[in-house]
Amino acid sequence: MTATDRLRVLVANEHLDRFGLIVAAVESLGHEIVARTVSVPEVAATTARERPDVAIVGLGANSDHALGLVSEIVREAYCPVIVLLADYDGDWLDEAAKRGIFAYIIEANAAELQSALDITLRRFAEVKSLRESLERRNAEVERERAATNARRRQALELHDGVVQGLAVAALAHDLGRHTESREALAEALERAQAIVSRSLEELALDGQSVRELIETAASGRADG
Amino acid sequence: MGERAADDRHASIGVLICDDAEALRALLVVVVDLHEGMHVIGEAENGERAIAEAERLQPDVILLDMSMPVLTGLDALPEIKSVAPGAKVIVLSGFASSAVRADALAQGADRYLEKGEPPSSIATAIEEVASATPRSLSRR
Repeated sequence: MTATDRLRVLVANEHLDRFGLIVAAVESLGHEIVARTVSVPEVAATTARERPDVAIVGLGANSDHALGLVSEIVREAYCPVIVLLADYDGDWLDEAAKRGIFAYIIEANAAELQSALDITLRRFAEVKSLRESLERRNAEVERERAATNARRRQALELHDGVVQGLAVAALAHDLGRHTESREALAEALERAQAIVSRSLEELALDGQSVRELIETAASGRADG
Repeated sequence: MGERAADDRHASIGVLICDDAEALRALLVVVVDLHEGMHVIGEAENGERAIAEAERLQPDVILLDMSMPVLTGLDALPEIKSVAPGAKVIVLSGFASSAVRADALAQGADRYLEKGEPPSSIATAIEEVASATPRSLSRR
């Protein structure tokens, strides 16, 4: 079991006789019990405090009261909820699934319980790992997007500066103010050179050779 | 100032120039003051000052840059129209018309000019918006 497979688990079950069995099964599978409670209604608050990866909640009877607890736990818990049931009840499980449980396990003998827990927690660990990979990738994409936007804003400021300089140069020229026009042109040229230099630096950082970059610049003029 | 001169000044189009580029403001002052029938009554270097000066001076025409610090011309436009409802606004921008003209008009601009227009075009635009009715302005 790798560190990412090892889950931090909350166990809740009002039936004390089953409680020890579940805890033992979870621990034998190499997972860590970070919280345990015999009060199912406290599950949501406990997940908020302990932040486990998953909560295993024994509900015992498949009653409407249990469905109410499922709704409350799924709505307020900070982690996915796996429900342990005494008996199989298709209609009840259909309703529980609609209310958002991650999975269910029918309590049976110790061996079957351990096997079911093993499979469910393995699947959950895979889902968790995939979700974490996706979150890391999304965070990476978000960082790249922010960096690109920052570069675009910088480029826009530089481009705007060039346009402002050229506008001043043109207006000064039209008004016969040739010294002002010349100064504004020189400033615009300096800004334009800064844009080209920055672009070259960025492309060089991406691994393009100076020769390629010069050819690209020249082909741009030929196309224009 | 004599009575005749005062009357001429009264009939002249009062222009507020708003642009963060000092050099450009100075040249626009020359453009306006060189043309008969219009004169500069104030300047502003950002959107916030543009709103304050528009309210204080109640100009006939405002030359408004889009890209300004503190508050952009585009963001200042609705407030300018609110505090100086009689003022016509010419957005004078470095952005190509195709990129932002529609946004500027939607925000209340009466005319959109790209920077780089010759002095005569700027003066003509000022005269036209100052004399135009709201209906003829909306067709431009």
